[in-house]
Amino acid sequence: MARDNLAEVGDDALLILYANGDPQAARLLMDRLLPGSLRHAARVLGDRSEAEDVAQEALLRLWRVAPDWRQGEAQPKTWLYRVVANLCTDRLRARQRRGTTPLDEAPDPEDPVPGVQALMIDGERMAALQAALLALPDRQRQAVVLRHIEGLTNPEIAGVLEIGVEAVESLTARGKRALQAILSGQKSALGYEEV
Amino acid sequence: MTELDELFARSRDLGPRPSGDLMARVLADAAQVQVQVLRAAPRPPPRPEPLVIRPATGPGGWLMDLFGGAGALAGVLTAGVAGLVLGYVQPVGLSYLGALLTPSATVSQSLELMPGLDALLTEE
Repeated sequence: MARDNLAEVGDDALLILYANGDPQAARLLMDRLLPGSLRHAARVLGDRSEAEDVAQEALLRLWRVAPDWRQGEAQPKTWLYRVVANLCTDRLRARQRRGTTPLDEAPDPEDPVPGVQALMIDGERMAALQAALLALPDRQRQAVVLRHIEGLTNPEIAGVLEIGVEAVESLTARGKRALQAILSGQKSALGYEEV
Repeated sequence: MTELDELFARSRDLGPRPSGDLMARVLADAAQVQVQVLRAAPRPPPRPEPLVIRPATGPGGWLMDLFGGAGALAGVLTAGVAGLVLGYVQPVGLSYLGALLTPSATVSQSLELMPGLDALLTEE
């Protein structure tokens, strides 16, 4: 099927086309699903290299499950976020067992040089947000990333994390409050006016 | 929008994007798995091959074709040889059978294939 014709096709139908041998379906699915998977893994793990491995592994599992996929039962996007969440949790637990911290996860200096504060750019704000995210417990972090960065709805997050919607609401609310508390002390360093 | 919401939005825009190397790895995985999936897919049962009668080759091939194959020719030859042997040897038991089936005066009178049939056919 031509690529233009596939642009309107849903993810689950694309996955079935892939299983039936369509040569374009895999690239389209990758274009749609890989960026979100990579962002999710990177924000949760705080390590680009590990996040790439997780995203690749998650998509590999999606390709393998394609022949058994039943249209209308689940969305590949939600299924993939769940796989990414589980793979991230496995890696975080492995880190805890080893007692190691990736370089990206190392906390930023607490007191930035005052002269640099005026030159804060997006990259530094992102680093501050990432450091704050990594300070959250795993489940809170996953819920906040999925809700506020990936834009999933609470029922979708409930499906991804395999918990109830109320638990999702609680996790995202607590996570957001914790982030605000962590970042409130860095407002001026991040270039925001103190309110 | 709070500063935190703004940070979330920027994070979505500035988040890591898949590198060319990662996309190549993902597509290579997809191609490899797709080949395996297509190989493992159940295939339709093979259609039966059409019956092809090939002419016999070699010496005597025309004779086999005449009788319908080597098996039929072997059966005819075996029957012929058996007939010759029986005719030459003439076993004792075979002569009794021959006498029963041969219409001769003495035997035909004593042979009752269906005794009692005459009584049924007799009109009163």
